[in-house]
Amino acid sequence: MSVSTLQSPRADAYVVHPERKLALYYVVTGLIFLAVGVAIGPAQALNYAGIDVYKYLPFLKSYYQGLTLHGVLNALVFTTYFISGLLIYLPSRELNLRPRLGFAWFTYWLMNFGVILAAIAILTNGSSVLYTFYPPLQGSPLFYIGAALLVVSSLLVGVQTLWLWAGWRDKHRGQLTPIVTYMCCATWCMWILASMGIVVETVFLLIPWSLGWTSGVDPLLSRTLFWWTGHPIVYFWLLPAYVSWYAFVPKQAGGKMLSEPLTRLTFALFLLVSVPVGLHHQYGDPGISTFWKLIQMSLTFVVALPSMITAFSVAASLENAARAKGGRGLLGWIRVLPWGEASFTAQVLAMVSFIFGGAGGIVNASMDLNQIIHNTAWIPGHFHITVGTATTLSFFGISFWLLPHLTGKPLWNPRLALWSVWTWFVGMMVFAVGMHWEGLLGIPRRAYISSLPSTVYADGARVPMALTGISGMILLISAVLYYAVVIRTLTGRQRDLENAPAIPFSEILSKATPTRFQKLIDDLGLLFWVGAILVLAVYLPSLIQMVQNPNLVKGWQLW
Amino acid sequence: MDLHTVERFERVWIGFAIVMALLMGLAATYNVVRAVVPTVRSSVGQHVDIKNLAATPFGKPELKRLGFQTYELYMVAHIFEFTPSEIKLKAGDSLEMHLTSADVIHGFQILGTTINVEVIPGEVATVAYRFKKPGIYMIVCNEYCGFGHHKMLARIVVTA
Repeated sequence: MSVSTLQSPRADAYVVHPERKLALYYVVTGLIFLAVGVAIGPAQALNYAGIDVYKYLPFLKSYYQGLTLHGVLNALVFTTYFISGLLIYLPSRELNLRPRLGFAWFTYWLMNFGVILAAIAILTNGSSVLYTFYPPLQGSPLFYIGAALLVVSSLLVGVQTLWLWAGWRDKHRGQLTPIVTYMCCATWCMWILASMGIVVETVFLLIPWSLGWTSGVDPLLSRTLFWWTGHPIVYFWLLPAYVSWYAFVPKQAGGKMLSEPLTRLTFALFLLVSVPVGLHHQYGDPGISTFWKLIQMSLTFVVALPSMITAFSVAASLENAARAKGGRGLLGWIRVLPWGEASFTAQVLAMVSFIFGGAGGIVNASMDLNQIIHNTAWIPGHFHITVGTATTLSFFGISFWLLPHLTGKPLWNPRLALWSVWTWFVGMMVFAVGMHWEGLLGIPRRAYISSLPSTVYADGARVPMALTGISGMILLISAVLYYAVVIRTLTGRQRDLENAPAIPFSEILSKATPTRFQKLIDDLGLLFWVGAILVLAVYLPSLIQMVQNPNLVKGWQLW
Repeated sequence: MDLHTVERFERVWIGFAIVMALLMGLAATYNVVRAVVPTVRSSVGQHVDIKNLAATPFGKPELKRLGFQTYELYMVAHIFEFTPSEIKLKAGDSLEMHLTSADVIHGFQILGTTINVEVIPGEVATVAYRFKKPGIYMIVCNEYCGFGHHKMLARIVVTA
């Protein structure tokens, strides 16, 4: 059944697959919010170069309001939209099942509603609490309600995707779930388990407290619930990139996914051990026993394993593709990879940045080494090459085929797209060097240091501060290039859905067979409950102790 | 490149990853348990009433000499300063610090050392350090606490 695109392209574009439009709206809305967040980034980078530009930005009341916008929009809002769109769309196309569109559009508008509430709170300077919003700093109720709605609507998208998968399983008893659906559903299951911390924190503690229904809040209990979600949320950002690295990048390189069983094992491991690790963000907190901190530290090292497996598998699939095309030598094969393709290049550079990001993550996870870098500029240095590059640059790469795929409009100026990719990678690498370095010199994260006399920090940190400032300018150029490509692609007049690029599903070299083990890990519900038991086992002793000895303090608005 | 070769390399790689994770974990555990790197200690579940700090040792936040080269410090973090804001010690002195906050969460990092603690209202964080080298050690609030966060600094002056 084909639809002529000539007669009335706009009306008929989405008839065959109306879920294309859904995915497009999620992805583009996410990119719009990212544009706002990214626009504030250079001012942040200049602050860490000792240059204060906030006095020239009349729409921002303070550095901290700008930082709240930057963090919330980039890390929380953009990622949630992009991932929601991608991770419901891919399974629905792989399984050939259409989600219930009425409900799907309801969740989209619910998400928008939540973000608008939070945006009002932030833009009016009512909630300059940063994206960690630790009480007793007390933001506006709109902020917490908006944040809760953002999370809840993403969970509804997840449940809907799992519903599609359950329907497929009913009709295909005894078969293993197709690989992309498996990866997406494992990610959603992990996110459901992970998000419970922030849902409980906002719904039961912060919303009633900010509305004045309760007089105090326990800061340590809130922090602990926040980090229950706050660490595994990074896997919610990272795993969709892994989906693409495993399932799409090999095809884009001209090769195949090497091992389906190992890919499935990787995602099963992430579902099991992503969540019981949040205490490694609280090594410096009093009121939590060192024993449980060390237990969660050990589990953090366990969750490094599936990433190590990924590094091997993905690199091997690229080498396999390159050698099949005649690449030779120990490293010479790298040259024959399709470096002219922006989508491919973006994702390989994202992988490279994650090698450094992962190594830094091991430092952060080590309770002893963490003492040196905790809450210093090292930390934003770290997460700009993880979520800021491994995830974001992968999403840029995905958008270069996804937007043409969804709209039927060809990518505008692929050469410029390639330039945006390289400048993002270089900019973030320079940023990371500058910020990690500043952190080692003891400069704190998220501090308005450009307003301080240079004797405090700047005199002893000229080189890293200069690097940070320069990186902000490189990234500004990159963002302009990227958004030029996105906007010109979306506003293109030519629309040809029939010849639009297909989803680059890779063929599989070694397929999974329904062995007992593979059938066992195909049961994501079972893995979810095992994961949940593990989470409760390592969190309940600390949480029960906090609930039994409440420490309620009043709220403060200090911005 | 056949699949079997890849799988053999893969097993080696995974083995390497497991050994490395194990070593990192053991090293960090050793350093924390044996206090090679001092980390925060606290009486879990016991709080001070921040509305009535005067009735606690934090009512007089100051340096106390306990014995030869041994000092104890009660320090209060509040917007946007530390009290006391300057501490004087001699090289070789050991200092046990007890910290709480009177309002929101603050950070407490002594630059040039491995002391890095969250200061949470109502919770008491205890951490010890021996200052071997003379110099001026800057104390930095490294947890966002409001509009004056970046100005929240104090210092420890260690003389020879």
